[in-house]
Amino acid sequence: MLEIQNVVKSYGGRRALDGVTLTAGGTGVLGVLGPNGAGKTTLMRVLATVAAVDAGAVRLLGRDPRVPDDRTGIRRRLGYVPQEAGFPRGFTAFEYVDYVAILKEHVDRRARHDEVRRVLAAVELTDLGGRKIRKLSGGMRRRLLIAQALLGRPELLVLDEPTVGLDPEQRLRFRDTVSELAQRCTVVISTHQTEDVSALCSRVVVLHQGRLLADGSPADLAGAADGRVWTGATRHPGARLAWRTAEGTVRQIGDPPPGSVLVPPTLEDGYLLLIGAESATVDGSEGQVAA
Amino acid sequence: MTAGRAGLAGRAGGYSGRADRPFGATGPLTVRLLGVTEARRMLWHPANAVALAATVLAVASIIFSGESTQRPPATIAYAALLLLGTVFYPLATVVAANRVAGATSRRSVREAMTVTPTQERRRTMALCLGVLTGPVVVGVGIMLLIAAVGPFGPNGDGLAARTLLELLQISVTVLGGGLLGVALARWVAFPGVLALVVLGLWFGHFAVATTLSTDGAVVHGPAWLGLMPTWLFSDATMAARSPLPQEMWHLVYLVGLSLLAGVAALLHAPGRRRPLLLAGAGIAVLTGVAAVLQLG
Repeated sequence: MLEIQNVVKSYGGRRALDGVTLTAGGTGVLGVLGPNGAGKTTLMRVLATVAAVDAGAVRLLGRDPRVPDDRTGIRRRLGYVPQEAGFPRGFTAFEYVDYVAILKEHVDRRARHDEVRRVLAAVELTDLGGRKIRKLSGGMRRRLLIAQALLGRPELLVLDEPTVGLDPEQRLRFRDTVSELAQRCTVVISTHQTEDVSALCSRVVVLHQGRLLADGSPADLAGAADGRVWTGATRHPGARLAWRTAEGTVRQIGDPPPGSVLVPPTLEDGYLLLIGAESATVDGSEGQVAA
Repeated sequence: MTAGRAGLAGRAGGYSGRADRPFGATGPLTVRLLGVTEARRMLWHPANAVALAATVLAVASIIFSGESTQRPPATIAYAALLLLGTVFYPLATVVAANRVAGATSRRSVREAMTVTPTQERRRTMALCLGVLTGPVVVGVGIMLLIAAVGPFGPNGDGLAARTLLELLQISVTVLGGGLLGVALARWVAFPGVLALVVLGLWFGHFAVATTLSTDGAVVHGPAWLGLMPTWLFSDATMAARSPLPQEMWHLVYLVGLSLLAGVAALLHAPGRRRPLLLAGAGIAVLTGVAAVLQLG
């Protein structure tokens, strides 16, 4: 479904992707986790055929996006939600999705309108189809973007931070929609939200400073912190990362001192440990998260 | 596969190359459908309401100035249609086409639309088609109304003096205005540019085409665009003003200018440029010849 090998992409002198290799196929959700500036959006843009790579090989849906006809073929079978997207002025929600549907070559009017209604229903915007986009809330606009990505039942769905701006209830519904879609296609989702990854993804990769740090199941990533998460009354100098919880205890990640109370790690612990360790390696200092 | 091959790096780090070739089975139909959508958006653009309002105001000023008592209703209707078709509507079309084209070409909007099989070249083609099937059709309607109203006026008003070739310039001016608006949206989508162009068309057009001599008489200069300024100040046909019956040349000249604007708009999109450049060069030569023959 998607194969990228040793991909390099630079902006100016800065490498946004630095030798990333990734393969995914079949159905399911692949999560891409990483801090700001890790290269997540660049990776998403490469997977969405928006950005061309400087070096390395990319194959999507069995085609080479460098070949114009192949690229068009990929785009016929691809859905994409960009991280930041504006909307054309003056459109209603229905008109916008209908416009994108025409761009996606849905030429039969009745079938197209049925499809537009279907995707609007999938994101629960059916009743707001006639409303001008400028009058929609941020969360509704985000759902509208997701709706246009669902047009034509794509085989590859690339979602760049799709849950930003959604309230908890909307996020739950979004997860429901995506998990249903993932039964039929490959979904790649980039996010800061480890809860989304835990809830949705069968596989997760961690990007940091343009490089792939980890690739495995969410349980694998959480397992990386096994035996390295503990709580205590005070911050231990040996902790790589520590923060005070709502209960008043300090949750700490790193090398636990003898006699400490170990707690089961979460995906977030594994992720933070990985990123923290990498930052320590790169910066020569240890990361610390304040409560 | 190796990296860094020629043609990989496009604008904003994206792909370049002939993404639109060849047309898929649904390609032409998509352009046609999109063209209809764009036409509808152009026709519903508020700039058209402004053009209508400006025409109503201008006609109201004629009526309230007392001139309407000396003129029959047919003359007033003729003047209103002439003002709308030759002055306000073409300018409104520049604005409408520009804003419609610009609405979907902003960077933030474009990214989601990039990931579709219909790329910028086809979207621009659809916009050009939209100008042709929307505003130009209305322009033809205005032209036909003018032709229909003309015979009802008294001979002294010279209403029937406009020939078909002259009246056709209304539609062509609207076409040119629309394509110019699209080209501006593609090439110079900066704040203020559209306003400057509209002001330039408004003032430049009238100032160049007509001037007042020291004794107050109207002097006709070369008509670089439509012939509306000379129509407004003179009842004579163009043939009567020129040494040759040159309406056709002026029409060819205007069609040439319009097509050049369309070619300019299409040239902005990634893809094969050579055929467009060759076509543009041919059109430019024809337009130049027509300009020499018409403007002398």
